[in-house]
Amino acid sequence: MVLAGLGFGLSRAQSAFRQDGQLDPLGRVAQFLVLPPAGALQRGVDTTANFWTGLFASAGLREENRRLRTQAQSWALYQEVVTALQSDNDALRKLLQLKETTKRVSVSADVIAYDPNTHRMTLNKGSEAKIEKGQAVSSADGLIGIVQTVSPQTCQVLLVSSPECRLGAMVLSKPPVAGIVRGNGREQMRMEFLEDSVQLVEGVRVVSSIHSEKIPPYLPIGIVVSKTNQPEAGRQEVRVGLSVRFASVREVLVWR
Amino acid sequence: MKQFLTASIVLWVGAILQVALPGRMQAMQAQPDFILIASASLGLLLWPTQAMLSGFFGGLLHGLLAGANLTQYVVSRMIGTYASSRAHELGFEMGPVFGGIVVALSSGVTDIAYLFFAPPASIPAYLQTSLASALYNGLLAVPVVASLQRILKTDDTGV
Repeated sequence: MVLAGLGFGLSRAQSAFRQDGQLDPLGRVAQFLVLPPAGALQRGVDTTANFWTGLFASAGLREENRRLRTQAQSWALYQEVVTALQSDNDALRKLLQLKETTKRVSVSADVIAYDPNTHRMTLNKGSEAKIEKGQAVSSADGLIGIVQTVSPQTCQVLLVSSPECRLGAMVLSKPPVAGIVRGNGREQMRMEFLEDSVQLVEGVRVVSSIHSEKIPPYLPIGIVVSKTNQPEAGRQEVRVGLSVRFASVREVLVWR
Repeated sequence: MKQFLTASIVLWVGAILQVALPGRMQAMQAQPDFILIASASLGLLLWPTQAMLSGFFGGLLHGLLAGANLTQYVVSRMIGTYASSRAHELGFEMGPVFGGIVVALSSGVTDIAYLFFAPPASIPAYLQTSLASALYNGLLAVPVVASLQRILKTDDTGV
């Protein structure tokens, strides 16, 4: 009972620190003792895996590398066009006295811990890299989560699969439909719409909303996998299959 | 003193492995829980009070590293390691394989206890994942129990 009470007290203290977006002192001590050797072990495991992959798959990797370089060159040709269009868009928004679209800067970080039970990841960058609570985190596959606590050199991310996570999102149907997505504890999210007349098709992409202050718009979240109409409640709900496989994420971007 | 030092080192190594490896060792939705393997293996070879202490510190470590609710982790792991410490009353020979089975059962008890504190969105899916993870933990616990038996030099009754 004493130990359970002590655990409860420490839990309350931890929650109080988390409300302020900070890591509690005990958590910092635990990270200090565990993260450096765990990082060394991860690097060793990755190096070994890369060695064997290079040994047996070098021909395939060379071909994939050549193909990706060609793709990158093609996309670079379009980058000038995109930059010019963005500049025109900002100028027009200024003329119409609309709020300017925020030019976002991203910070790259490595994933140093992942806990699927609590839907959290720990990254190796923190307040020293100007990371703050509430910033969005994404990988090459899409939105991963939101920064929840920050210490000087690490931060913890609440994943979008967590039931605690609620975000604005859009279904890219014609016309696009906005709604709120929330995690349901698995690699899926639920999205609710207050109109049951919205026509949604399975397989349509779901992206982050354009209305958020902190989350960049159009970040991939997933695709519609199923839908449920609740006409008596005047709403419908869809299941969104996530585009990110959290266990395989190694590098991420934190959007400032 | 030897028991305290051994338990501290085993839990610390378990925490390092828990941070570094589970994502890379996922198999069919199951992931190993190295801190739980460490504390349940210790619990098997210690007195019940000592086992609950190892469960407490294992849960505390896991909760701190995950940034999760400490009460859930601490209490569920204390229950699991207490169950593990009573295994020798079954009268079986305390070998590594029996130890692995006990750790698997202890892992299941821990997950069920955790269920009451933090009900998941889908209980059948949670139980399915828990069963797979418990088997995984039991398998990985066999060499851990064998090593701890040598280090702590316990007899067949486990204490």
